[in-house]
Amino acid sequence: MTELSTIIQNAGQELKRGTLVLAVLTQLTEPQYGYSMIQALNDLGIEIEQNTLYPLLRRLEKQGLLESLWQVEDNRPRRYYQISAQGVELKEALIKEWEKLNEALSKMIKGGLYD
Amino acid sequence: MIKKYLFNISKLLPPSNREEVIKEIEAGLYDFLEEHYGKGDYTEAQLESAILAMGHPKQVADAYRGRSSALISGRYFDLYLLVLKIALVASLVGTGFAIAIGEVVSASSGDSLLVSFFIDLFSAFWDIGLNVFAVVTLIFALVEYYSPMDEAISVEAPWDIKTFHQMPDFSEAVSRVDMIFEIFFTSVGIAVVNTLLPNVLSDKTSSMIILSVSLVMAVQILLDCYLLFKGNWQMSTRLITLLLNGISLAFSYLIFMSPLGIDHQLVSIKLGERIASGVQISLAITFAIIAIIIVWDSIGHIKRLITEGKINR
Repeated sequence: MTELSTIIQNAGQELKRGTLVLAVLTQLTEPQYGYSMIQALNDLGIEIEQNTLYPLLRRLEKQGLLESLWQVEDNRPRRYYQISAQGVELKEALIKEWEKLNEALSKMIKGGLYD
Repeated sequence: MIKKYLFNISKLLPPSNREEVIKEIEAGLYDFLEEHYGKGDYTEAQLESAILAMGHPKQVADAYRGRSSALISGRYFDLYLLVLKIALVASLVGTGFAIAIGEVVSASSGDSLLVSFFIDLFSAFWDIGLNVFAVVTLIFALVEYYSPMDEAISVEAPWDIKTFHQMPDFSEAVSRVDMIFEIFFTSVGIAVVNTLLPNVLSDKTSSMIILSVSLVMAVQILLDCYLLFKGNWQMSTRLITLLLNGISLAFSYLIFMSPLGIDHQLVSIKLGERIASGVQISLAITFAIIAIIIVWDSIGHIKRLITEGKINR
């Protein structure tokens, strides 16, 4: 891999990382377990690895943005997550931020194209 | 295979949330298996694919505990706090005990004041407390810096499950309570040895004996910390324990029973003949108790070593 393609890859990952919290919060209006979340996000075009999502869910729960519940299914435990009231507030705030950012960046990108 | 993988992750996690994180990762592995291969028993290759999808143990552990630039990271922080608390309480108890005895001795010669007792106590607490804090922090900072249990792993390079550490034999598990007691009493011992012994040992040998005994006790505390972190006994740690037991027994004899140790004449002068003979009997009883404990502990380790030797053959 060339140096430039590594830089592009890293910058792309950095950009995606910033949107992960919002992506996760939008998907948890109904209870979901970790692996089903990965599939749901992948289906929507957001690729995320298990070793990224599971610690993220745990961190969001610690911050009070998610609620979790262990359930035993077919003799094995499974942890379900769902967005909390505080998480809903954060999600709404982040959506507003995202819309502002999207609008601003769209203008900048279009402006750049016509320069 | 899954147990071995989880064990390799658990070694890198702080004890406070280890159990729950491991439960979560295990659930994730089985979710992956169920989604890809359905319910039921899984082949080695299927298990391996789930493990590879989850990631290298170091990468997974890093993601859970976060990369830290702190002097002592989350991996060691719980153990550091535990050892610091035990060592501080124990050394303060030991110092308090030693100063109280010193004051009783001074009182019998009629030159003590309650005020001076509390001044001595406070200054000794401050002095010992800071020293213990500094030494424990320094030890953990060095362990963190050199990370002896964390081999250089490149998580980007291809990795193989066969290179993981073997699961330990859980019949060899270290008793956490035993280790905490041992750290506590050894720390009390260090405080007593450094505060009380200089007053009762003959001048010629005192500094040498105190330094050597303190070193042996410090090594014992280090070994206990290592065992607390590792969680299981190995042949090497049993052999070091046997060596330390032998040295401790020899030093106990030297201090309590030999003419080079506690100077009975000095004790007689300070406490009077009658009390001094009582002290002499108490010292013999103390030595006997220490010897019984050390021999008992050593027999246990020797038995385990013999059993292990037979199994390995």
